[in-house]
Amino acid sequence: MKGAIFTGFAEYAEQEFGLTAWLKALDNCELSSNGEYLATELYDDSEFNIIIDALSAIVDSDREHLLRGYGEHFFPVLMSLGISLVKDIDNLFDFMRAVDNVIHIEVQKSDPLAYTPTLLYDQPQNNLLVVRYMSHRKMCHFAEGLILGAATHFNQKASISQSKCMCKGDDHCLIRVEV
Amino acid sequence: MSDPSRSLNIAVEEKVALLEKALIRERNAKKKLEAKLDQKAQVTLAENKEFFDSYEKATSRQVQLQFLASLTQELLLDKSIDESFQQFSENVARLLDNCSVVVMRINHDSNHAIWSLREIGEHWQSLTWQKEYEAPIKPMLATNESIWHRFEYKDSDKRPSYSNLFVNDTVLYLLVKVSEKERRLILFDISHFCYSDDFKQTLDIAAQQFTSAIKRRMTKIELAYNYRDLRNTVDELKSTQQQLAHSEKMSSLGQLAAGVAHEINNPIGYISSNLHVLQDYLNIYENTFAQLPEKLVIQLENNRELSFAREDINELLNACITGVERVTEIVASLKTFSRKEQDEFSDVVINDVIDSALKIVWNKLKYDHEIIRNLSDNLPIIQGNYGQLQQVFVNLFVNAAQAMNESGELRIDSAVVSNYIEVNVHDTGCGMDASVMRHLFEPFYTTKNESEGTGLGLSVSYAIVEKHDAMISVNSQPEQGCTFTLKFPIANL
Repeated sequence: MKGAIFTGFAEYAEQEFGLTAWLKALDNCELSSNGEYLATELYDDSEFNIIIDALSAIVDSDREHLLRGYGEHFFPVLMSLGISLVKDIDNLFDFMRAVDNVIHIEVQKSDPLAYTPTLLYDQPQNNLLVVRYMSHRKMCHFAEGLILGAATHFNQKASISQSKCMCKGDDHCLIRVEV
Repeated sequence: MSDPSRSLNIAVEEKVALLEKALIRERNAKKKLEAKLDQKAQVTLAENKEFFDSYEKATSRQVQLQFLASLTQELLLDKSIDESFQQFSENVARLLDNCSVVVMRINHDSNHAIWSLREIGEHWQSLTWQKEYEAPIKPMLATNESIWHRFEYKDSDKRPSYSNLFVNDTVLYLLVKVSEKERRLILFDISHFCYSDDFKQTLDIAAQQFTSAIKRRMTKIELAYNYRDLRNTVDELKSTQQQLAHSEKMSSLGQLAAGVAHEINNPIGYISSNLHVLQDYLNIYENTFAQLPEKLVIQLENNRELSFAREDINELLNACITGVERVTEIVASLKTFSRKEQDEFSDVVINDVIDSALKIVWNKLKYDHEIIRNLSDNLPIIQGNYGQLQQVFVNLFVNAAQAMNESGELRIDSAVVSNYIEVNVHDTGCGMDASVMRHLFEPFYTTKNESEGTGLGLSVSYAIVEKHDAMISVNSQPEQGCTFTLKFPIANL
């Protein structure tokens, strides 16, 4: 997993729950990287799960809630990167369609052959976009948070639901976003 | 880590604040460093991006091309319409996460049908068409053909009546026009249609390819039907043309024969009559001669020329009478051949006619030939002229005997075949070639010596058979024997 996700999560945790909570969570984990992350590097996926579980225990908030919150927090960060693919986008659905490419590029920068999640889309109606998310990292709730963050950014009201979820044993997640 | 600031008596809060500031500075420095690294990575990626994009695109294209190629290959195979639909549906279902699929055949005459494939690898099931299916598929039938459409149940509680066929809330369907009277719906039971644009494009191409293939197949079938119809029409025309030509020929020959018969009939009439009168006169002369005085008779008998004339005159006259009788017979035959009007018909048992004809020719056949009589019992009675039919069979049997010079087998079969009584007269004689068969029923056509036949036998038989609304045909090859087939319609009974 890209180091930027770790560093971004550190910022989110610090901002949301305070520096000490974050440091304590980090301190409770046994990590091969020792919690020393560079945004440009790639780290083992399991470290993120260990950290989020540790934080979840400390702040008494579930994993889904934390990931969703982190996604919402991360959206402005993503936009601030000034990535050409998303900087001119002005609505939620276009952003969602573009984000797959953004993730690809960001991961490929560190390792062109690194694993990336798969995001596929279907728009059966004008106000409905269905996203199929497939990743062994099962970060669908982070994706939900990103979508919520984007909706806020583009001043759109969005309701999100998942008819299938990898966290519940399905082989992919189906995230339905209605604006 | 040692902290020398302890000796400066700095308060803990101030220390924390300073450390926080230091942390922020470190973090900013790290961010700057990461940004630099990111920039470098960006440059490296940009250099290789084209390669990676091309690689990714090529991989994706390869999968699509493989699918389309295999689909094309499948479509090129000579499968039935049902099989083509099932194969295509199965291939697409495999791509759509092995979903279940239903194919509906909708006909104008309401002869609808439905097949279902619950799981890939299983067999297709033919289901019973339910009237309730018609309402929910109505809007589907109004959509554009050859394009994928999606239908989603808005409210899961109010699922359409055909929903027992499906598990998921979304149906992906394709409407294909098979003919003016038939359309088919292929319905895929899918949980989503979240696929890449390339994938969807591939499905679009596949749908177009498939509908084109079905169109081609239907055109081919239609062409084959048209070709068959045309062939049948051509065959029928040829046969009718041959029949017409034959009828025309026989009719012309009939008219000719009638004309000749009429023209010959009158002179032959008075020749025959005069010959008989002449014979009477000759008798009177002989009687008168016998009454002459003996001396005069001896004197006259001494005249050699007169004596020879007296001896020869009777012979000559008898020969003339026999000759005229023969001509009269031929004229009578010509009349039979040309006569169109119906003769007197009565109930006739064909087997009896055959037996009586056999009796007539028995002397010709009994020593050298084997006769196999294979007559079916209980043949229906037909309306016919016993004498004329007997003439036909006598003629055929005599011909057979003549075709089998030394020995051979004459087989006569009679049976009911379809709506006919079929009689086959088969001999193991010398047979004949096609050119002989072409002229076989023409009057005066004969392969025999002049002294043996007039060439009227088969032409008269043909005329008799035709009068009975029956058919006569021949099948033969040189040295392979010959079979005459007569078909008497039962419908005429």
